[in-house]
Amino acid sequence: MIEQERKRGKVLIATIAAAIASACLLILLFSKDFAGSLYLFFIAPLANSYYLGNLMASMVPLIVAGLGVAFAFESRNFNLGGEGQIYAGALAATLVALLLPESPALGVQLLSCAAAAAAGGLIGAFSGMLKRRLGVDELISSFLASSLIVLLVDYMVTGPLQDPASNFQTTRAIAPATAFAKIFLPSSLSIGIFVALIVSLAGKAVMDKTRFGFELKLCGANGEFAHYAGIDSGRYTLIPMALSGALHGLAGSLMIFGSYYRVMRGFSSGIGWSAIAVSLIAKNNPLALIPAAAFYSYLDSGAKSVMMGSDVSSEIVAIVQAVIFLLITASRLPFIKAFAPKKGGSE
Amino acid sequence: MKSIVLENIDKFFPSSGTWANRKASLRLSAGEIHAVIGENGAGKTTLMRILAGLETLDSGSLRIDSLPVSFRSPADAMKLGIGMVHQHFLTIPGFSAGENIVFGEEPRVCGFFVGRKSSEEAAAAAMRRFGFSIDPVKAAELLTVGERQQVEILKLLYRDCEVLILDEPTSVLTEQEIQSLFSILRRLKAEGRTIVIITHKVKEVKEIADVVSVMREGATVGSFKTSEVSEFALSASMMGKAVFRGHRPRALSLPGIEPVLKFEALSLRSGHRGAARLENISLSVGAGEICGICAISGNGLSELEDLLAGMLKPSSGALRFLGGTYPRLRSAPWKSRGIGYVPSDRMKRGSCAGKTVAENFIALDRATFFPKGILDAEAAKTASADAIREFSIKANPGNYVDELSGGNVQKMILARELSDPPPRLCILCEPTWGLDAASTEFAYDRILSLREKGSAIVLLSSDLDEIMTLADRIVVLHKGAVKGVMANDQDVTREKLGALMLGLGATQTLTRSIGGSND
Amino acid sequence: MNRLGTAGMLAGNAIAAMTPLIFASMGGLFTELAGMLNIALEGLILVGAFFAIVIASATQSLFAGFIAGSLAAMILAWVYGAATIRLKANIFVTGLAANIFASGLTVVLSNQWFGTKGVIALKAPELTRPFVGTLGGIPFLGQALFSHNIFSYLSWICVIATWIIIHKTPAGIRMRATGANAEAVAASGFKPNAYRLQAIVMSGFFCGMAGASLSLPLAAYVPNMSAGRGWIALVAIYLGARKPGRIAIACFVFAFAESYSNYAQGLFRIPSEFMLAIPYAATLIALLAASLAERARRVNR
Repeated sequence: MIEQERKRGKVLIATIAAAIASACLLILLFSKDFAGSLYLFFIAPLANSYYLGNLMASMVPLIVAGLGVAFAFESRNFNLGGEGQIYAGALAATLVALLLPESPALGVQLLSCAAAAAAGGLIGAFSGMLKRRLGVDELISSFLASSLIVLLVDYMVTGPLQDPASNFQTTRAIAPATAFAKIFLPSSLSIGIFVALIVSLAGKAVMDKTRFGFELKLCGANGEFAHYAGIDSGRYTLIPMALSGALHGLAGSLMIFGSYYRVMRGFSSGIGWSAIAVSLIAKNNPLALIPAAAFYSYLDSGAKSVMMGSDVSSEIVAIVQAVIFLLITASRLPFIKAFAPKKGGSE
Repeated sequence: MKSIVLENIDKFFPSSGTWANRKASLRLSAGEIHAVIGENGAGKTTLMRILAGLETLDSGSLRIDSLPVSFRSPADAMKLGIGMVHQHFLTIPGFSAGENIVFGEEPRVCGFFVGRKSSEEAAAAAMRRFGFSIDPVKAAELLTVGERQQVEILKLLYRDCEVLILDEPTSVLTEQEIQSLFSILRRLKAEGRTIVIITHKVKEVKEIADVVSVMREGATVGSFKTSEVSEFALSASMMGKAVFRGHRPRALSLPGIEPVLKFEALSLRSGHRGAARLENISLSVGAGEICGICAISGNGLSELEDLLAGMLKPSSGALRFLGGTYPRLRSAPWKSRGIGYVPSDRMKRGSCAGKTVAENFIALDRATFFPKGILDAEAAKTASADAIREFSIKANPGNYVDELSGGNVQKMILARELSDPPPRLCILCEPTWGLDAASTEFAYDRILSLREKGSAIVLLSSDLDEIMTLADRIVVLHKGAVKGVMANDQDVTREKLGALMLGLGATQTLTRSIGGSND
Repeated sequence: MNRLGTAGMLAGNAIAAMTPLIFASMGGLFTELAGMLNIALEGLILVGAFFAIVIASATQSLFAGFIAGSLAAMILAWVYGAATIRLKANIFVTGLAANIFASGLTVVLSNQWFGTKGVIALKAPELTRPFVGTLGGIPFLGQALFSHNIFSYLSWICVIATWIIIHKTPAGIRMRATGANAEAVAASGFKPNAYRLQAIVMSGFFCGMAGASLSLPLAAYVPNMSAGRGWIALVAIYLGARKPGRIAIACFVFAFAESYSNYAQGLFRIPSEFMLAIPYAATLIALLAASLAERARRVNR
């Protein structure tokens, strides 16, 4: 375990180093003002309250959805349907908020978030059920289902649910009174950050201190031993996938109530993949999601600030994300001596 | 090639921390069938893998025709005409038998291309030359086991191998297929090739081999002409003389009491690979008794273990626990109904390597340690600390299991399964395998004290020392059937048990009955 | 338009639409036969499409564009393959990385070089349509078979070439063997990882051609041009039971469905999202069907 931990630690450091290096390289290649862009990428996001607050606001869905990814990963399931689950959750929350009367605001928020979690949970459960009953790889089925859901929500937002008063492809906005209170003007940081922190703590508690978490992790760690210990592995496929989906849906609703207030077409695009990257960096540890999300949002913020201040497009963060994905699941790094195979061992 | 000599070969595997070969030697000559025989773990397969270039030797020498050689890969060995047929055949599905035979050295069409027809024709030519008769066009998936083996042998012959090493070749064959194989081998021998057979089947050695080398605990203990040695002498050589441990007092269970565990005419079809099954096993084990069941691996022990663990269901017959149905796999009441199980696979089934000692300890008894679903960390820590103290485990509750030595992992499992209150039934599978002397003594003491406290103990083991030290009654399995049942008294010797385990001698039964057994 | 004319048009459109699918599925076939699940086809096609048209327009040479597209996809494939095989990373995650990289890179470059993240219309030489002059006039067949650009005919040649490679060349045979029983391949003295990497790079080459066949005829690059074709290619491989001829037929079926629904979309107003959803839905259904069939087979044994 120690050996494995050390290896993964090295892979993590190498990945983060590669991510930062590739960000720098991209800025070098595509910006006319290297130094200025470097400043915009690395320093500006922390320099004033607007940027810093927005950075923290963008951590919210990453932490919550990241927890969803972590629960799935810990039970050895891959939930790659985050994109659809977040988007659908956001839509469900918005719809419920639009249908309910404006007050009490807390009631609206709770019911909408519950609806969002339910929507995401159902989508996750679908993949979990397919794996449990038919042995369909949940990795592929969750990805495909999510892609379909994204298209479905796109259709709803631009069609039946389109806000007639707006020129943009979006639904109507929720009543301002029901939105989360802002805590760090002029940024969009809201009390959602506290919700995210509480969710992260709760996730840690469930994973480490409850029987449910124990059995879930045992199923992920050694299926034969878990089966032998009387744990129903089918249960710990379905439930983690549903839970994961629910957390993603919740993340979507937090985005709506915290920053966006309406579902614009594609507003949450990419958050699902980012949440996976964050969870991989945090190695599925619920508390480590917070610094991991901070790192990731920092990169993302940097990219956006570079885009606004110069002519480099913000999609460079997609390339950085790709670098992270490429390296983070590696189990050997041949150019690092510590990974050299031991004498006499077999590879 | 006239002769091959392996001398003083050492081979150490760091991953398991064992010496697979220690000063092992072998002398091969052209035109002979040479059997290498020994118990499991004796080092025969490793030594042959070294000869075939699949493993490197740590020290010692390999000489071919008195010239030293060293192999870095199986390709090097193949260049000198040495090839190995593995125990699990490496046929490639999606290709025909002929294509499999010539794979890697296909005849070329127009200098570069490979043609299926030309490959199959080349294979057919090889088959005619060596006297085989498989349809080269037949798809690999449709080949019978015997045919698959012939394809493997042909692969070597197609490359003009002079030395063919076969690893346990008859373990998956039917009687006719075995005879068929033997006539092929005799033909090859007549051509001047050398055949090496790795096996533990003494009868076959006498039938087909000219020379036999016996290995034990990584070294070669003797080489004989098969015509000059008896089966019993061979099995004695394989098993060795035991160190006299001293008899411990035997228990006598009281007749008339319902046995704790009962096998009723138990049979199991199609066990692993369809070869080993269980046939008509009837046994009873009473409270305060240790019933030792021994067999060579592949003769039914692992199937029996899976049955007792609740992972397999008997094809016919029944298992009874306390007179009633045997409880299902680790159902919640398993621990409360008093069954302790120490699995033979301690890392896969017995523990979870990635978790801590404390977590492993509480994993099977979650109802107690998670009252109302929340972890009672104090109780977990205390219970595991108590167990650590009681069983002298060199670890803390917070250590991860894969940091522990094999002995300590086993102690942890013993602690978990055999702690107070003592279980009504203990199923112990190879409980002291790989343990050092001190831990072994400790385990023996524990097991015997459980017997004093009234547990019924079933001990499944291929280790005769273990069986002879602990058991009150010994049951020998051979090819899945009971070959002998006897009380563990002064008459029982390693040679006797070894012979029964190898299927030699007449089936033995108890001379006096104990507690209603010997059905 | 008379019936024959409409039929000819539909068939012709289908065969034109089939071209990128055939390239991509032949590429994917190599990785499938080598025993890997390759979901990077999407990204590889995208990269191929982008670089093909950009270089073709910059050099005013179609051939240069074709080479650039294939090369770009091969390079991305090599990176993806090296990470998966040499670093032993999870192939689905690295495949995702390749796809994300492709969509990010194409937007960044498109913004950098052309100042837009949308459709780029470029001036490039027109693709020849070799037979349209001579044989294009034949009723039905003319439209269906003889009025296509060279990519379509090249794709048919690819199907034959793929068959030859996997059945008649030593490398192809060993690649197939690697997917079937890598241990046997290693025991025969070969390196399975080399064949796996080769398969991935080949898939890059073919997907590059697929991308070029999308953007060059249009003389334009459309964001996310691959539009799920990588997934359709995977489904085609499964439906075609890994046989090049049957895969081509599966591609035709998909292409015909696409061509017909484009036609129908004109007649009935189907939302574009439903069109885009077809590849994913088809893959999901194919996956379910395969699992159900596997279940049934196991029960009957």
